[in-house]
Amino acid sequence: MPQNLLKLDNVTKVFLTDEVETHALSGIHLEINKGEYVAIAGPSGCGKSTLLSILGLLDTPTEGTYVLNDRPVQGLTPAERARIRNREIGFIFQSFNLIGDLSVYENVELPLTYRGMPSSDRRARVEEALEKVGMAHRAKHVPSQLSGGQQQRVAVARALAGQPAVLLADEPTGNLDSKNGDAVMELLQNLHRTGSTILMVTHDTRFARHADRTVHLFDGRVVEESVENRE
Amino acid sequence: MLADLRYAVRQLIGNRGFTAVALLTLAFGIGINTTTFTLVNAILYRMPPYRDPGRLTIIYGTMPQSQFTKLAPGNARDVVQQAAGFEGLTPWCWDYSNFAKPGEPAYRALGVQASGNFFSTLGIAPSMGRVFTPQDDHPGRNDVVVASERFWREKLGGNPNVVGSVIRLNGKSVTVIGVVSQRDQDLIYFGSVDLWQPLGYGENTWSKRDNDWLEFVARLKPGVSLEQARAQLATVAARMAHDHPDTNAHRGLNLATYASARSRGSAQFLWTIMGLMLFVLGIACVNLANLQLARTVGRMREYAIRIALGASRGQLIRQLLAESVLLSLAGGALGLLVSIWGNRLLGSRLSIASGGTSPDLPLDYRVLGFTLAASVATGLLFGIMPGWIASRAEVGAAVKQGGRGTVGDRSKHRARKALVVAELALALASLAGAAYFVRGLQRITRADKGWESASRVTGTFMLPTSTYATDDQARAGVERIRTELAALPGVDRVAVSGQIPIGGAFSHQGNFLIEGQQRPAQGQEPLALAERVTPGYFPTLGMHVVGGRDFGEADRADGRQVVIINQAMARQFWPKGDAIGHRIGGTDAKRPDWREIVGIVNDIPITYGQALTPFQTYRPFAQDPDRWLTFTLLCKGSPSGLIGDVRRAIGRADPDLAVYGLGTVDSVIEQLGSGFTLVEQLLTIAALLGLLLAVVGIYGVIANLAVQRTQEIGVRMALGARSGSVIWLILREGVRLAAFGTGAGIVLALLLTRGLSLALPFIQGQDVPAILVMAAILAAAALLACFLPALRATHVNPVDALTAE
Ligand SMILES: Nc1ncnc2c1ncn2[C@@H]1O[C@H](COP(=O)(O)OP(=O)(O)OP(=O)(O)O)[C@@H](O)[C@H]1O
Ligand SMILES: [Mg+2]
Repeated sequence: MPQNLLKLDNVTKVFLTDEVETHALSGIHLEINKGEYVAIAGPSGCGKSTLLSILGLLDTPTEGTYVLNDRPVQGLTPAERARIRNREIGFIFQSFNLIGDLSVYENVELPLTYRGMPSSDRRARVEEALEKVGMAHRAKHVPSQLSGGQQQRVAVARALAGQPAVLLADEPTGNLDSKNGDAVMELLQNLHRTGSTILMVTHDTRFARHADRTVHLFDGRVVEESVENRE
Repeated sequence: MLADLRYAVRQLIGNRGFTAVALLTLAFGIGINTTTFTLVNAILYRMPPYRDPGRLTIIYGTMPQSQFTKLAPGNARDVVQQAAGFEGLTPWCWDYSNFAKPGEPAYRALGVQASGNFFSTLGIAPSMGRVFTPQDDHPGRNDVVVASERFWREKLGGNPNVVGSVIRLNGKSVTVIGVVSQRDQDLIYFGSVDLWQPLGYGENTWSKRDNDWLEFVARLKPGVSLEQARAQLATVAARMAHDHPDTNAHRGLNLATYASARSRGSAQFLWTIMGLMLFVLGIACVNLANLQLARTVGRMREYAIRIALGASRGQLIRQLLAESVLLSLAGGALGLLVSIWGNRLLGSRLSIASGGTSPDLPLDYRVLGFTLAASVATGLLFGIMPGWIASRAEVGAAVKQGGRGTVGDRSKHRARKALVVAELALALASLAGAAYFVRGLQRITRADKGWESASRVTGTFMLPTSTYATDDQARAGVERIRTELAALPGVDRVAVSGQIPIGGAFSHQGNFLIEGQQRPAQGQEPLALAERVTPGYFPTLGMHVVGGRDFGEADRADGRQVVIINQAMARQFWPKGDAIGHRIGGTDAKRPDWREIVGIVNDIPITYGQALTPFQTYRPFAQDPDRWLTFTLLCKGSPSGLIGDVRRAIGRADPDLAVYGLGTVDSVIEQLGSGFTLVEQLLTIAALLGLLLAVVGIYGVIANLAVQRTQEIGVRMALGARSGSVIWLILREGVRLAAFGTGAGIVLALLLTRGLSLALPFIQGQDVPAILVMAAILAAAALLACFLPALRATHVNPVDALTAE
């Protein structure tokens, strides 16, 4: 039986704004195994990004438990959470979020720098990651010199560089045209084949089909899980 | 243009926070400058309230050491009789007199004694009664006095029938013949004069040429130029030198306009202060440029759209300038209000010539013009750079900025950072400027002055010639005073002298000859400062007799004529150390009056003004009595408790004597320094204001930077950045700016203080360690200001940051 890489148990997230309670997530159970490729789908506002933030330790659940790599993550200090984010999690954002003042190389290097890795080791990792996404020849460029698709590939490289346990991608193709979007999806699929665990939020059912299974959210609840039938 | 203004008003009203901060900054920056300029204006530019003041001049004597000496009566009379280009020639002199009313302590009135034509030369009419005329200016007929409005109101009870009444001055009865209104007095040049009297000199006095005590005011005839008058005076001087070589060789006459004489000595000083104040306005300016730039950057997209719609760069710049100039004009108007308040404060602190009367500090057209010019210049200065940057908005770039998935951008901030660096540098320089004055004054008042001031009480008095006509009477009077004061419990020692050497001042100066040495060419004789002192003077002042002996009671009028010289003089003329026993004397060939050197005393450094000569001499009071005197007491305990006893003791010696400036020596020194203290305080306030502005400036930039990098910080946190690295990310910028700013500031401060020491040689306040300390404080304050936004940056919620548009 494959082991759970991450496990959410009865997770609830309530936002309090101006005396109004928003139940972004209610009683979520979710288990993701190592090497799985899971898509999260659902209408706008159903809580997809919130779920991803909690999984990525950017946010904490109001209730419920979250176990990552056999380790409960409630009650960790901000520094420990930062450390886990840095080592176990790779983020890919819809809006790329590259740092404009840094070169492609430096952007990819950033998570390794935060880890305090020696620069020679960093170099190997960064080059490997850029190689994987096919952006090695653009290492010296700054993000504004790249197309959107290229920027997103650099962002993927940045997420990969730290060799995280899981890649979290929030609508990675949302800001891309279909051709570039396809390329990024292909990239993720290749990563999945070489063993990466991926959790991807998407609107696009076409892309959801790439995943092993799809978790459908509605109004903060898991309403359906579907497993892709592939030969 | 009108549309620009309307838009500008709307922008400013819409942006209340910015507008309020900017107005406040401008109000103080312009206000403090306006106040300073008001002072400059009052002293340098406002004409005295006299008729046709452009034709008024001051005549000085000259000697090799100085271009501004007084005139001896004989020379003054020659000028009056021989200089043809003038329609009024009036010698005058200061004359303090004791004004006594029964049952009240005597009051020391500031008087002017002048030739009969004094009022017609200046062009002053009395507000009551009449002024004196040449008919009053004869011996025996000069027992008339004109009172100032203030004296009349405060000392004569404001009596409307005062004309014709008789008052007692220096124990003599004189008739009040008129009153001059305060409006007609020039407090800047003459100070707060209480009384005017005719000179009333007889032939005996008028023929004296060996003692300079007369000042000289003169009115040019219409159409006569300063140059022509100077040429005439040169002829007169040449004739005097020829006819009276003993006294007049190498002496000449110098002519200056009244206006320039009025500001002599203060002009450079005032302009320096004005310049330092402009530094503060500069800081305000840079600060506003910075704020404005932050807004401009925030509105870049708006400008890009405007350019896309066809606005020219000129139009964009004009629009921003309209906004900043409008703002600075409003700030200038507020600055005027600040300066009215400032002037009141300044006026109350500023007293001229010990009279306790403040000069008028009116906001006249010159001041208003200055404020207007300063406002417009400020507005243009702080508007031009943001305007230029706005005009370079690139249509494509502005649209791209938001659309692309990158965060942060170096280039936009470069200008703001440069401004912060400039601001920090200016702030440090203005702090250094203020510190220069503080330190300089400390050097003047507290440096090793060659004597001691602590635990000492002093007071000045004048022995009126009416009761102390002969030298014997003067000697007896001083003896009585010494005895009464010495008898006071708590008094250790007593001395009487012409004055005490505050700042290195001596009562007299004169050329001297050395017996048995080759007489130098006429007029080339060495010059020495001179003081008359009673026995015990040196120990009372804590000075040291380093060779020979001190004066004693045996050095009487009829005894051997003796003198004590300072070390510098002994070293110069008797380098082998054998000064004692030699004799020196005056330069008058007919009366050699040799005096034997009996002692050598330590030097008194001249810390105020320029030292004409390093040589200092002392004679026993008994051998050359003065009438203007100062007593000094060395106390056993606290000196301040003695003041009342001292006044009563003087009263026992002579009830008619007025004591002036009675107090501890330290307090007298402090009072003399109070003009400087005012300058010091003004500069310090201004510099602290500059420091505050600079710190607020760097805070603003860093905080703004942090806000603009919120998204980037979010990304970094998502990638695992810790608080420490986020703090450093923001703080790093602050450290760089602070380092550049203080570095540039140190250089600027060194240059500025060097310039100050050249511009104002009498104040020497360089202090490099102090500059470094202030640089450290400035850097620390700047970093503290950056730490706040850095700390706040760690509270960025990465989720919000990443989802924010
Ligand atoms: N910080 C917040 N404060 C208050 N409410 C929030 C906050 N973040 C999210 N929400 C609310 O929680 C709910 C879920 O939001 P979430 O961003 O997870 O939706 P989503 O599924 O990612 O939507 P989309 O597909 O549009 O990105 C929404 O109703 C949203 O308004
Ligand atoms: Mg979302």
